[in-house]
Amino acid sequence: MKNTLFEGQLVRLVPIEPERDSRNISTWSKDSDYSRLLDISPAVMYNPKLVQNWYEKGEQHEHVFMIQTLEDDRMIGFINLGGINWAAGTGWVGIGIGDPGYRGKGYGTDAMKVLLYYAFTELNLHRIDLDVFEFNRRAIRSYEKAGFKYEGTERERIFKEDQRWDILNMGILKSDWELLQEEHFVEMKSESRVSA
Amino acid sequence: MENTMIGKSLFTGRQVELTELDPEKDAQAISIWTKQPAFNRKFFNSTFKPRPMSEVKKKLQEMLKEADENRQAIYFAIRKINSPELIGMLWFPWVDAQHQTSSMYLSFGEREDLASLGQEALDLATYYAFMELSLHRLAVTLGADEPEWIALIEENGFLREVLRRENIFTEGHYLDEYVYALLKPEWKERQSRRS
Repeated sequence: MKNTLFEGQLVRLVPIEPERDSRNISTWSKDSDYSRLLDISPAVMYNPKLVQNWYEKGEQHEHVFMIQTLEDDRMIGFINLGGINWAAGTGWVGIGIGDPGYRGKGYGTDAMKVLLYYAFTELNLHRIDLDVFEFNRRAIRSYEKAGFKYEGTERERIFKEDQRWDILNMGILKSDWELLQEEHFVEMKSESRVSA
Repeated sequence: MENTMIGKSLFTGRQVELTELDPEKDAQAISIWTKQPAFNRKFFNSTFKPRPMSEVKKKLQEMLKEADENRQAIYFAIRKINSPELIGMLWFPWVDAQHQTSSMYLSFGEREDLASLGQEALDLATYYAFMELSLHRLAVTLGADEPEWIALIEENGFLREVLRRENIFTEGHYLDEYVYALLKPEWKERQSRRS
């Protein structure tokens, strides 16, 4: 069993502190690339007070975490497990790496792996899914690395830049995830045999 | 320009019509439908249990109030022409005007009504979606426990786009869930072939 449930190789997930984190979240909303990769709603900016208010109200954000680097405790993004149906054991996940210096370097993938560990071993969920926009190739690769499988394409779901774009759907079952853990364990054993 | 817009009803078919919902009068029929897992899933979006009339009435009142305030959801009752009895519901839970898309739910209380009137209700629904809401994309989410709906939707050109594996849990089993969608050019093409 892991000593620290919420800690991966590069990041840890920590609870949101509305006063501390609302400034970061507000700053990230000023980056239109970030907004357009995260959400199909129109890109808008949020002032810190408004963001703080969302999180202080809070019940719907029960499983939202900030992503913090292990190396220097920097807050680089957030991850949110939502829409949980406890009877079916299903939910969706959303993630944003707000600090551009930390995109494409494995931090998001690591945060996702930590979240999946929590979702499957602690919350006992059966399945997690997510939507990702066709133009977000980096995210698609990251989700595949974390174990998500492609489940289909919602055609022409987005209308921006005077063009229509698809949304890809991806999902991971607990059984998919367990198989990955076994494969990872076998890999670790064979690596340690080679190095011995 | 020729006026093709005025002089036809968006709401009236040959056998069925779309009307407003009335929480006072319609709650009883809907309360009976909540015994069906698939209806319950869509209407309440939470754990399956049959709901009393009082709870359905409250839910209807809340839904209609929110729809009136936010102008994002649209609800219709489906009735046989000149009959007050509620036989089905059509609703667009979130019309996304920016992207010209929406999902749609269509339900009948009785299987027989779906078999005999489903096509006509679907024709009214798709016409309203594409020609009044001016959608580009119309999506329908169905569970593997709704084979009659799946057949009707597929016959009408909706494409199965997404298969969410084991997304539904009912009667001790996991079932797949599907997202179907029809795009406006596809619908228009089918309309021109039918006429």
